[in-house]
Amino acid sequence: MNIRKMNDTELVSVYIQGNEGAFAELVRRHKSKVFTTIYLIVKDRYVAEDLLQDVFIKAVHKMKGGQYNEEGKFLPWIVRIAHNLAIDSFRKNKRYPTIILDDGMSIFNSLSFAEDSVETLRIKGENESLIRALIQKLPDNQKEVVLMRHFSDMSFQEIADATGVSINTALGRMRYALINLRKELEKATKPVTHDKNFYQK
Amino acid sequence: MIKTFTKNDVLRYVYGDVSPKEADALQHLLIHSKKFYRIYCQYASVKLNIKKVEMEPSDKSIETILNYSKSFSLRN
Repeated sequence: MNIRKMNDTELVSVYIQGNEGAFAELVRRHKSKVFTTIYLIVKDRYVAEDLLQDVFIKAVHKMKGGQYNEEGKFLPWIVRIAHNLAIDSFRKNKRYPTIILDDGMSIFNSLSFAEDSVETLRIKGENESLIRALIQKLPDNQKEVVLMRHFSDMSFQEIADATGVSINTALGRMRYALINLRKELEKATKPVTHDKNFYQK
Repeated sequence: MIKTFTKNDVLRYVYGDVSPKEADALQHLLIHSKKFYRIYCQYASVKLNIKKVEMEPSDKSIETILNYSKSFSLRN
């Protein structure tokens, strides 16, 4: 039995029958996309790590409990679980923003945990982190389409169906997201210039 | 009848969300229309940038998940 050659549907079915290797392969294939989706919503690596575990644990319960019936669409299914848990967590943390660490200290006492602003990332020139920060700043309906297309591998028609809009609306949201990202990226990569009138010799 | 293409069609082409017939017609459009070619380049470059942001979770989290599954299977 070559697990690496199986598609997701076969892996789920073999896993339900007791093959742990099949589950390990599903996790290996999809962990990055699930993790990135969560991170782009909650904006905190440590919270994202915890939620990733919650997502796969929930998936284990659903698959073993006979509640998986997505027929070959494992990735959109698990990303949807991730999206819902991440949104719940984000809303909860928005209401109760103080985060206490294991040692009882407030997270604000630990500067290394602080998230860099878009401006700081621009100065540091960290391109990937900058793009992540810009995606996080997109309006929710645009961000949703970007996440579904890039990290759930859903077609635009599937996105339209899942979000209850027409395909043209889904495409329009994606176009605006790309245009917004491009504008912000251009701003970010523009060299800093001094006001020539102000800095005269 | 000649199909009129829109920016949405270019976007679907960038994401490979078109039929082979549509792909041929859009390739033809991109060769002959500077305006649509410029739009194509803009979408494609941002798409590439988004692809770069994928992140890896820690090995510890993955180990926890796999161990949970094993113990769950043993219990049930």
